[in-house]
Amino acid sequence: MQRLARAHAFFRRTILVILILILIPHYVQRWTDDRDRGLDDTIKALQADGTVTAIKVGRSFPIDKDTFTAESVYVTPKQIAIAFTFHTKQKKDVWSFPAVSLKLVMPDGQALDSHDAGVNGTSWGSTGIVSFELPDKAANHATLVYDLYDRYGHVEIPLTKAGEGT
Amino acid sequence: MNRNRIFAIVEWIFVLLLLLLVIREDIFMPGSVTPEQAHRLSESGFHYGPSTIVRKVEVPYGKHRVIFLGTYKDWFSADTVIKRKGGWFAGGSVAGVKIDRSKALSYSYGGSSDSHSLMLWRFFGYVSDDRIATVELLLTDKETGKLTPMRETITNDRMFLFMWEEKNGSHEWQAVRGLDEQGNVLYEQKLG
Repeated sequence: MQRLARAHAFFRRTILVILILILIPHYVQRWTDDRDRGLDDTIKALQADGTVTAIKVGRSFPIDKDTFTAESVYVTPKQIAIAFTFHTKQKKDVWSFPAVSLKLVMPDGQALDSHDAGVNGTSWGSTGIVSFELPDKAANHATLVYDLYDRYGHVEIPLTKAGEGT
Repeated sequence: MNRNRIFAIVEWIFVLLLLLLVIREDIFMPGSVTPEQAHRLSESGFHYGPSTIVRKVEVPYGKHRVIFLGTYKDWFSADTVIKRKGGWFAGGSVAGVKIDRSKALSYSYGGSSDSHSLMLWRFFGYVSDDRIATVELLLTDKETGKLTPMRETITNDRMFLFMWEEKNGSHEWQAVRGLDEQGNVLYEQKLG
């Protein structure tokens, strides 16, 4: 009887150990994949342009079942850079967010194409930063537009901190 | 209940929980079971489609790729899925290309290579002009100068797909043509 109990315990624990050994490398890899890869460096690189005004945005729009969020905007004397996150519910075969297709539309109607975008894939979607050249006419806000195929979304982006003039 | 029994139950609960995690994380099956499923996920993961599949083509060079020719509203695509360890995966070309209705035919192309020096090309498109019965792609061999035309008859789905494998850069692309039933050239676009 005791022998049987011991065999039972051995069997149970073997399964437990095997499962743990399968899961640990998976989660370690996911953790290393998800670590912030260079967004901070990109933001530091913006300082080469001169004074950087960082403004928190935190506004979202849905694309199908997923969510695009403009997290913050960095305005420098040379460019406007927008940091974003993209959260997706789909787990398999998700493409990196096509950030180059984003446009920044100014209140006077000028549409700026992105001139640079960096996107990192994560287990839950993507994070990235997309930058635009300065518009011809300065404004205190603009609209970030996603318009690809028949999907459309937009968010209002402040370009000056509250209380400052244009 | 004695202590051993409680231990055993707790450990079985852990086993169950971990098993659920293994299944949820798709550790053993990171891909899809069928090429169709991978194709659908590839499109929804790109926020395009779902396209109408007009043709499913197994790539003859190695049995690891399937191309789905399809249209969605004003776009056409040749989404490719690849079989690897763990199932079928998105393999590129998911993005739809706009159909230019002012032109007799719209086309797009792309290449991919599997490690060695061979390049797999696909040249595909959508025919808007219904007088076009045949689409012809003209390539010449760079070494011999020999012309190798590829032809495809256009059916109701209006799409065409040419595939070929070549040593990188061994062919010169000449033109794509649309011919009517009598063989007259209705449309010609020089390439390369």
